[in-house]
Amino acid sequence: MTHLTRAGLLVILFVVAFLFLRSASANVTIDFIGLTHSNDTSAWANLAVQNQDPETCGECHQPIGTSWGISDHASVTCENCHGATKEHIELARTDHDAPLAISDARDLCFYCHAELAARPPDFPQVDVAEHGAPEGGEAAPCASCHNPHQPGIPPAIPHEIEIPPKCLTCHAQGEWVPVSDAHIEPNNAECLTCHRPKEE
Amino acid sequence: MAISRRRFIVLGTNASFGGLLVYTMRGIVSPPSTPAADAQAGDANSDYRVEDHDWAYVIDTAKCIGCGRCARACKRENNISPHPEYNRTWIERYTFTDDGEVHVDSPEAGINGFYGEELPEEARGKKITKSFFVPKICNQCDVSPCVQVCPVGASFKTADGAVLVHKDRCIGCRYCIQACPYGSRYLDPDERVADKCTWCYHRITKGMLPACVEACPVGARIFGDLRDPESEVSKTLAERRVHVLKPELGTKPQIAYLNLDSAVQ
Repeated sequence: MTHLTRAGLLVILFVVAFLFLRSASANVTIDFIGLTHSNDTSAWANLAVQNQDPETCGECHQPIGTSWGISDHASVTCENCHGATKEHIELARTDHDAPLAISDARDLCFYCHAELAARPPDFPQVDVAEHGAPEGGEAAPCASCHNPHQPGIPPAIPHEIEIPPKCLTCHAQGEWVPVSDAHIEPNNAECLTCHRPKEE
Repeated sequence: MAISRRRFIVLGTNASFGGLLVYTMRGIVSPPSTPAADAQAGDANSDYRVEDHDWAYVIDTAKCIGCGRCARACKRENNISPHPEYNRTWIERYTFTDDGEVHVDSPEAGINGFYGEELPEEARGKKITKSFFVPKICNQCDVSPCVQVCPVGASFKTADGAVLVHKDRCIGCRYCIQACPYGSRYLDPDERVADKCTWCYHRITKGMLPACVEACPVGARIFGDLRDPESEVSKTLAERRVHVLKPELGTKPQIAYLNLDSAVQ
């Protein structure tokens, strides 16, 4: 029997050794000497976020956040036009006038609204050469007529107009049918550049 | 010093097994850690579990207006060189003319939009029969040629679906750039390593959308988790007819397209 026990022990020993070696080689790759990848995503996950979502901007910027949020431009995020806000937010913690540059160039609007054959036809588009550019004159910034936070066609005026216009006598903010807060600095002389008398 | 052969073999075997035992126990006693990751764990979301997500991305070419805001947002978010040669996402314009020709252009990769950009010379003056924009991005292929060819294992596929490049491992050999059938990779001009779209991995792991998806004003880019059956991306893939780019290559792209024209490659 001794020789059988010995042979049996040897077989068991070999099996154990085999399993040991197998588990060792299966669990440990040459990764530990740094030659293969480790699937370590932390380097990417650790990067700092540069662009916020509009809700973050809305935490400070009300009511512009609310009026923009129900406008046709609600799908255009703040940073699309104003740029990344990471630095601005960090500055704004201490400085309430933290600067955030924005260009009034027509480019910002024409990126989306210039007429192009490849653009879906139901998307609002204008002829860059004609729109807002009087013949021989310099093109006006889009924002001088359109409010980018509340785009759309300025309402027609439903009554006769005094010439020269004294619109703000009746329509000052807080008065009867006040001008909306979409106007940056309303003044009598400029109302008719955007608003048109209602045609009979 | 007298040691019998028998004694030598017994000692040697014991020492080998002992060593093996200690070696295999190593991982149990002290789990391997990555010092680099621990040191700068500052901005990562520690609640994020990579195996709980399966990200997917859908692009609707019929909605794209070619404004380039996605490409600009990507550059801002990922601090990519402003040079139009280096892009993680770009926009192509397809123009079909009545002589049966298809003209594809992507001036400055569409970063500055397409307004003021003339059509390709051969398309000018001809009647345009059909025209549209196609946003392009890394397809995060399930069977990724770029991962397969990387000689140092710097490119890898994450459990949640993204293909990433381990910048510390990359040796800048450009094999992956050659291997990608979609032209999605480029050599980072500053670090001299391969770079590509990460689906804004630092944003999606914090519950945010990739910068291009967030920036798209017309909803042409949809991103979400397939593990959530109620997500827009799950519903879109379940209910709409989608197509992928170059399916014949068998790369299993994870970017699906809605309203894709057969001319798009």
